[in-house]
Amino acid sequence: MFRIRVESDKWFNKLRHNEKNIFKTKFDLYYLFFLNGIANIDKNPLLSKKDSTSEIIDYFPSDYIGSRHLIIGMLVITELKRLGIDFSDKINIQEKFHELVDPDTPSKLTLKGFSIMNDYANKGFELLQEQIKDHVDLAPEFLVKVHSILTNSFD
Amino acid sequence: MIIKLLGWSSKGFRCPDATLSMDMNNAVSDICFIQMPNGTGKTTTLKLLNATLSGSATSWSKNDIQQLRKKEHLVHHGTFIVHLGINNDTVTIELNVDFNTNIASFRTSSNLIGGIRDGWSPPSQLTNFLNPKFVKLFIFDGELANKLLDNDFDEASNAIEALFQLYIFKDIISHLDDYWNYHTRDRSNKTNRSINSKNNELSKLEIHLSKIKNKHSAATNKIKANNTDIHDISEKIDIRIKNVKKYRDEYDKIINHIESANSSISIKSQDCMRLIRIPAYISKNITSDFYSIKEGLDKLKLPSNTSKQFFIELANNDFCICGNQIGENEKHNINNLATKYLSSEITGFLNSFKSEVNALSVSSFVQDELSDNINELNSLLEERDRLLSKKRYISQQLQESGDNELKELEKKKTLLEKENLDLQSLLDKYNSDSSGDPLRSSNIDYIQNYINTLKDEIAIISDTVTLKSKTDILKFILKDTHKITKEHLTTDILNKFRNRVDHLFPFSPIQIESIDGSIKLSGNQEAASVGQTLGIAYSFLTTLLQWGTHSFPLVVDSPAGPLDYTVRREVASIIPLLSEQFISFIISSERPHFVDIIKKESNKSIKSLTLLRKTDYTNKLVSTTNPCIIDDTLDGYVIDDDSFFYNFDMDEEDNNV
Repeated sequence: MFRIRVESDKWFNKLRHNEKNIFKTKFDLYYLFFLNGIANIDKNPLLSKKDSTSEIIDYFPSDYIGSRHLIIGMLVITELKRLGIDFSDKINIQEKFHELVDPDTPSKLTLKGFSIMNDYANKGFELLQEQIKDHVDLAPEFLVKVHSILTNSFD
Repeated sequence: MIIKLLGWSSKGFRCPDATLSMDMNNAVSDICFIQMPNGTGKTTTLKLLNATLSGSATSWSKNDIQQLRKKEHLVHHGTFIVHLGINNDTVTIELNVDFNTNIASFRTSSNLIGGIRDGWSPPSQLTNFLNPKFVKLFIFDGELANKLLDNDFDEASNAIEALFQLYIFKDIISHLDDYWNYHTRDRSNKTNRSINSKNNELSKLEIHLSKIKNKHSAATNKIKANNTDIHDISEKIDIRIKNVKKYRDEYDKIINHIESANSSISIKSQDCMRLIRIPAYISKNITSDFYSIKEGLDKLKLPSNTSKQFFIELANNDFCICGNQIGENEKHNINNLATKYLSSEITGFLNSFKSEVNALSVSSFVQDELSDNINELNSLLEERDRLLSKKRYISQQLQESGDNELKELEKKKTLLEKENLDLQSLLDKYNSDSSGDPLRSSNIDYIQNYINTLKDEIAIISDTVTLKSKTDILKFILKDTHKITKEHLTTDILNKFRNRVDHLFPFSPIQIESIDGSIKLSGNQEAASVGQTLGIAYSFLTTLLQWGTHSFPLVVDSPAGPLDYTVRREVASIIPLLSEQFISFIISSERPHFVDIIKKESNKSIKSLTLLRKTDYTNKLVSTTNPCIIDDTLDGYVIDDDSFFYNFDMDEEDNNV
């Protein structure tokens, strides 16, 4: 299950206040947090208590069906980089795919895959809270700001 | 069950004292137009009808009551009596208001309840429908029409809940909680101190949660109410500024450009988000990583043509495909080596991944496409800020030149916006603060989770685990059933609703996307015009009111006012079909292309009444024209006279106001 910190609910509600067609679901925010975590190749485990996180869904929404393999690919690539595993290390690459990918599930992720992806999203959310110091309530402005942060982090 | 409004009488309230009857030739008229010039009390009458039928008057505040008091005459009491026909029976509900003590009370009479009873007490077959949520669907004012399409309100979904009484699910869940509480409390008397202590803690938490929820609800409702006021004030500000010839054209242009900018911003934002959902659009480095891993996989010959499954299955055989025997040693070695291969399922995933990477463009164009769109979005945002700044500047100029009323409006608007910011901060507090003592927390979810855990502990200790699990299962089923039922009903209603809207707007198609809280128009459509909003609202409400086997009257204030003649004619053609009984308050300007169309095309019985407030003008008019007056009261005339109805003039009406 994709899980997200409850503090981000407040962002989601504010961003959707006047415009519900940009961030259609919480997964849209989750995805941006995930990208931010990936871009900084850092992660923070989600708190173990259930009461500080909220469940989103356990599959990729329809808007992401076309890119979910790439998104999961990013997860694997980042883990390989973080662990210092070379792209020529066959055994470890196979193990990493087995660890994170389960094509029989709706999400194509294992429980471990969900957990690590949630960790990146959690870290990405924490970083974004610091990076966006001036509170942005409107979805278009937020989108411009987040794009700038992501491109700087990745580039 | 056929419910009809037989008539009502009003005495002592702001609207003129009057008795109106829908009776026509010893039957209830199918359609009744009540012509009331502006200021005659249409809004007050609707409010009184609504409050009497739903019983909500007893929750009126002192302010609510005083606002209904007559201004021109000193009165201490008000009485509003409504007569309803239920199939062949009658129910009379009488609202009495004491303006000195600010108390509203009811009296109900009907042979269905055995005579006269104090209090609001309609027969049981009516109580499911005569509640505030449902009554406002058939005692209808324009405010509901706007709210049905307003994202800040859930009126459309609420209407569906009210019609099908889906609130019953929530009521049952609440009863289940009471049942569980009763049983555990009963047991706690027989068991040890630990359960008593936990029950005490539970009680305190439930009270605390209830208070927090009330505060949360109050803050949310206040924000919504403030938003409505802010919207109204903004409209007044716009009208005021546009009345100044010097700024009219420029201000009009600015407003149009802002609307256009908002629409462009929405579309551009959606385009940007659509591109961001594909990771390769964000950065060349992401694409580069994809290519690197793909290259690596290709070099490693991953996925291989052979999968792990092949070797696992081979190891289960006694003979290899080459014909040699597979003993225990061989099986062991094959299984060990199989781990070096990927499963067939992951093979499939990797092939899909590599195909998607292959499809990515090596050029930077895809990243440029997103960057360009973001830059365009940024420009639109800057342009909108510039326009808003210009708008504020014009207002500032007028305020400085002495327009005090404008100053007051802007000040009021700023205060409301500030209040909303403060209330929103308070609501944010209720959504955060999720640690420590739940009795000191304001986070509703956190407290609720703590309560649930405590209930689980009590259940274990007091040996009511089975009861708890059964209760939980039942609650889950009820919640799920409620959700599924609502979804199915909404889908069915949506289909019929869309057909009705298509029929009503053949020349300017309106696409209804969904009903999710409010009625949502499709993607790129701008907000509906006033006429379209009313048309959409009628279509929706009549879809609901004609759904079941019951029939309700439809009482509408100014059904045609803001509609252009084309839409008026369309609405007029469906009015007779809307319900068994249609009652409408109109002003004289709504007669053309509406009342006359209905009169001409419908074979239903139509009654035309005029209700006037007594003024020098109306006194003179009545004495000159000598119409058929059926009620002559302290401050009003009720006239049942077709000739008077159709000749009552608009210009002279303005004098009347």
